[in-house]
Amino acid sequence: MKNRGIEVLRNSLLLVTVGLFSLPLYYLLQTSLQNKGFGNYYNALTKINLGQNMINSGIVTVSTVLLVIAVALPAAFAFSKITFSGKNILFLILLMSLAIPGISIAVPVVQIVKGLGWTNNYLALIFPYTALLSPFALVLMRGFMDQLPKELLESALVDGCNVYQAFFRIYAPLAKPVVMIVTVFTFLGSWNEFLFAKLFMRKESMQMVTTIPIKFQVNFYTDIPGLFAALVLIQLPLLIIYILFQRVFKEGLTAGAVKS
Amino acid sequence: MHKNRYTAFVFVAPILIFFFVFLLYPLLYTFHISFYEWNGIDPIKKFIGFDNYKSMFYDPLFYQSLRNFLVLCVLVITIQMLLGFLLAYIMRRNSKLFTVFKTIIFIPVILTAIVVSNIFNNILAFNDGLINTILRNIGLDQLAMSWTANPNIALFSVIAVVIWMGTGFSMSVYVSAMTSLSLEVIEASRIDGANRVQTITRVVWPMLRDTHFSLTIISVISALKIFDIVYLLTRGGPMHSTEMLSTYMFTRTFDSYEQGFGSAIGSFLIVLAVVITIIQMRLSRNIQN
Amino acid sequence: MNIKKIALLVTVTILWASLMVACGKGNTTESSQSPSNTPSTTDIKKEQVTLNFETWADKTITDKMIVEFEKTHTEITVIANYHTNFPEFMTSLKTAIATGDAPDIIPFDSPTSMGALESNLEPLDQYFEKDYNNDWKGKFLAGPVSDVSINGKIVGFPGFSSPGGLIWYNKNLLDKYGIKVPETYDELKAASDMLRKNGLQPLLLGAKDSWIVLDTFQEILNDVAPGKQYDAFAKKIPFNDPEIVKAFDTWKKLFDDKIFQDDTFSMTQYMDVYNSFVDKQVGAFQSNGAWNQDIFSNNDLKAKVDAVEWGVMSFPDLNGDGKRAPLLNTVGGIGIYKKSKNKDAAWEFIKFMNTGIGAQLQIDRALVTPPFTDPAMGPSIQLTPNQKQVNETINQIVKDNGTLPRGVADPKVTEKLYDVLTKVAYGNLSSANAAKQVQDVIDSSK
Repeated sequence: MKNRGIEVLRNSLLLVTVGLFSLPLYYLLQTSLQNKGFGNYYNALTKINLGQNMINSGIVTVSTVLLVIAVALPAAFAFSKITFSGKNILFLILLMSLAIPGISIAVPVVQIVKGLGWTNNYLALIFPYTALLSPFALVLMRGFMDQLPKELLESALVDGCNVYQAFFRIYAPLAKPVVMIVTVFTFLGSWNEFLFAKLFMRKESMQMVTTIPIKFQVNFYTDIPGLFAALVLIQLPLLIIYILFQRVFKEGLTAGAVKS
Repeated sequence: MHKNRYTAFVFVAPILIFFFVFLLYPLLYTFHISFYEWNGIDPIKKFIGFDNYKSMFYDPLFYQSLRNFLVLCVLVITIQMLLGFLLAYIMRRNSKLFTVFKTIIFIPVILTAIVVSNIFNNILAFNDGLINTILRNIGLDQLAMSWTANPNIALFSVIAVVIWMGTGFSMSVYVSAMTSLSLEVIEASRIDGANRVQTITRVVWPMLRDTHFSLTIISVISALKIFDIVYLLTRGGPMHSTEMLSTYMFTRTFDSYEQGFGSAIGSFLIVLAVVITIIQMRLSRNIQN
Repeated sequence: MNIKKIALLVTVTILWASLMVACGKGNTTESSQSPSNTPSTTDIKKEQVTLNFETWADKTITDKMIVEFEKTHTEITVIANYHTNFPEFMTSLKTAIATGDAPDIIPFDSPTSMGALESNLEPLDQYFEKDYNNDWKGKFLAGPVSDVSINGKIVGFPGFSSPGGLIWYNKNLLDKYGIKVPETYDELKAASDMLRKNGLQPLLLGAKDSWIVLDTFQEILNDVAPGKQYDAFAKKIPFNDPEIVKAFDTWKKLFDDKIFQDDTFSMTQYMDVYNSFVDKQVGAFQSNGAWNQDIFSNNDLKAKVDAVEWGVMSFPDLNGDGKRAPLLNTVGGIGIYKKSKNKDAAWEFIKFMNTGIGAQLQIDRALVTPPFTDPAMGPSIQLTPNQKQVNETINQIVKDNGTLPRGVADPKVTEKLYDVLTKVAYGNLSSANAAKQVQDVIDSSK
């Protein structure tokens, strides 16, 4: 009897919470269908060049993800499995950069990008994003590497592999779950970034999806349903990525986030 | 463990290059500018030593921003973690319905601040916002409030939005941490006569100590960096009741043309972040030993 | 797992493939454009010039101007980058200037931004002399010219003017409740009580935006303490002058008497208040400038705009001295970046925007006044009777009440004013202390 009571209480609490969480999402969808229904979506796709922006964001995001994995995974391996002097202080320095807000370094980053001649070039976003997003990837990946036994490395060395081979043949393949997690978070961080995207991509044909809402505001638009339809569209790829990766996500986060 | 300086260097060099070029230089630049009086545009900057820091430490707004940040930090982290933990625990068994629920709760995590602010600016509006309309329709007119224009409430509205955006993340971390705990432990404690509440508080919660820890670190850091959502929802107002260090920095840098002063706030923010990170790492080491 | 791997691979491939497509497309359009861009009459190919232009102005109109401009100036391509509002524009511009990479064409909105940008703006005196002769100043109205002059040089093309500090009203709503257009504070109060009694909002103000708060308060100042703010900003009198303090009292009273709408400080002027006034029509009055005439050219809201008779008036007589306050005037201008490599082309574009077709587009959109002494230019579109009436009323108010400068040159003073006005409105700061705090900021600046 007492158990039943608790169960009812638990289930109703769960339902209320899920209800509260879904209300804003419902509101977003419902508003996006007002006035012209799916016509809002059609307009967003055709009128405001959304396709081109999606492609831009896609290119930048995929490149950033690949680059983040390429720089963070070997580093995570080294911090976890190789002893070298200055290791702790180096790791701490890299951790500190987790806490740097993009807005506080905007001006100098623009200077660098300009110096490299990258304005209106995908590289202008890919490289700074990699720098800003790889520390978090490093933390997750190192946590994961720490859980892999170091004996693997030792026996590989005994078998005549060198350290590089051990990394590529043994550790990198084992790190697949955490690579998936990093993929999702880097994808999110890069796709959703606004400030640099606005500052570095001046040409309309080079703009990212996060600058889309501006297109609805610069005309003194009053088309809120149209804006909301565009908002749904620019977030859709993220939802698809999340659902695709959901299962792996579960395994990878454990390993990654538990220890840091 | 393998020891080799040069091998290690090969592995670590790429990430360090990114760090040195795109983060270290900008950081040094920010520190440098903080010693100047500069409108951010003129070619001439005036060196004024520590004056920006001095006026920052005398500015009541600086302390108000710090206070607001602390309130936000404590409330967001506590609620987000407890809620995420409970949701993960309740939905620990695999079921189609739970997967749908978990997806719904996770979706806000993937939304960008511009999307979230557009949704909530409409939901929280006083006259025709969704919340007040619902409240008035069910006869609770006196609960229909000025969610973002009342200085006593605005910060909590912002906090609620931030919690909505972040709970999915802590829930997912707990979900995966719990799958690694064997469910047998939970069942065993049940058989031992522990009731449900005791199982949670005495068995499951303590076993996830490491998870609580890493979640706290991640949450504190993201709270420090919070900018977009606050700026887009309230611009730090009304009457600075939702001012964060980052919005304070932004206003001074770009609205009142005080790049030097803004850089001083930025430098303080970075130092604060470093100190917090170091403290947390120390704590983590103590706990682990 | 395998399916997911494949999915990832496919995504990556598609995205990269689209990169290739995008590049391919880019190349073909370029090559197909270049022949048409080469003037057929000359054998020497004119050098292609690309101009960068950033603005917070209306996109539709600006895009049209660019299309028209490129028709007659085939050697010039203009790339425009739009911002939602002036602060966002300025953020982007400041970052760009810090790296020496600013757009060739730089618009500015006020003495504040002109002062900040001065060192980066090219003096345009010779350009005017070359194209408009030495007596060029006689061809322009004095106000707009002084708005682009700083330290003895001209740094921008005088802009089109549109006075700020008006109150717009929805005549249909007023008629419905038998409210006559208020001329005194008491009438305004009575009107707002009546509106509130019927579930409507009185005077809409987007107080989340500092600029409209400042416009409104400058109007109050010009009524309650005529001319005194300008003396105080010039350090001739203290800002905590008794009459200025009284203006803060009036500001407070407007809130206490619930004349502004509920939740004033959570709404932006664009789009919250604009939508509430024009689209949802939940309020009968709106504090906004003459540029609000653009409602008549808003295609999205045409049906709603046409169904209502709109009116405009100056602020009612707030202190009962029988005088209405002058309006606020600033026009800003459009300048050229000092380090631009294409100054001549930039000058051509600026001139195009402000004369001929460019000017016509601007006038048709919001019925702005050209900066020229020759009054030949008027709207080319057919005005609706209501639109015509509104426009004539504004011109009459300008004639009757006159205009005074809008805005404050020192951005720190602007920030402080917004800060204390918020606190006074919430009852957290006395009028005397508010004025004193502003004075302290004025004192601390050079």
